[in-house]
Amino acid sequence: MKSIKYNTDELEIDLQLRGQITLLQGNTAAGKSYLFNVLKGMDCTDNLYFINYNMATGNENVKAIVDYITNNSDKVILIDQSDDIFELHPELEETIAEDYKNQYIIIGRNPELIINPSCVSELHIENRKATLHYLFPEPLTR
Amino acid sequence: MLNIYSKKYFPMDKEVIVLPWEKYFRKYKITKFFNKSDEEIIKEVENTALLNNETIQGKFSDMPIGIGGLSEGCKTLLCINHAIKSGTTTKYIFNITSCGPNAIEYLAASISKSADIHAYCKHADWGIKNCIMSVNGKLFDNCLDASVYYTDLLEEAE
Repeated sequence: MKSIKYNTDELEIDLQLRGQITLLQGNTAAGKSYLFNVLKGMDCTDNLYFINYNMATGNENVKAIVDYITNNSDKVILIDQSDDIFELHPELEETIAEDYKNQYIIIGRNPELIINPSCVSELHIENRKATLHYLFPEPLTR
Repeated sequence: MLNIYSKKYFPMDKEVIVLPWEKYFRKYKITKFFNKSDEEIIKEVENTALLNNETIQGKFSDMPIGIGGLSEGCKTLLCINHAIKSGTTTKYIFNITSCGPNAIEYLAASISKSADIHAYCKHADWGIKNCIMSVNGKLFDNCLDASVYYTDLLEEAE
């Protein structure tokens, strides 16, 4: 499984992913969207693709996202505010559920995707180092 | 008191605010009306300080950042607090899905003390704090029992 490692002025990022979909949840203000925005603002993240609420407004935009997912592989796709996005565009959730070519980090609390419990994580930022802490220890696949 | 409803039980006389910050905040420009209670929400939930009505102390960067940099959960609470200040909470059902357990505990135990808040939520991660709240009209004296009850409702709905 992939890991995401970057060292920026703001954060040292070391995210070890498990399974096809890693769910990132936790307290309000834990830094989930902050992490998303730091990664999104970097230039050297060709293997990453970012979806947030602003990108996912409008049916044309969602079609472009679905096309991107369908036509790419080996990407790590990060989705912020997934609960709001999937409520507005359930077709996007369906596309992700059927995609086994890419890996996902889904920031949200209740995506109705089939999530392996061992892939549910919380973000820890300490001394500017961002890591994922999984709620269950054993790595299993989706 | 905080009243949470599953969709089947939504009161028909209320407007549903699906994206509080996107819709409610822009309409009412709520930052103009910030007071001590908003400062307290930002301090307790976001764990940072409001510097002026449009700026907060960055939590991770030590730099001042725009108010839009607040977490979605905290912004949702600020919108609800504005509704309390303007006496309009009975008009709305707020989507509090973006609130994590710490924000829902604060909403239930502190903000909702001064007004009846009506809300819906797509998850049941509501924390454990002792406080009176209701789910579809059924009363609970702590967040944990209420969330266990709501989990069953969410599973039934699926």
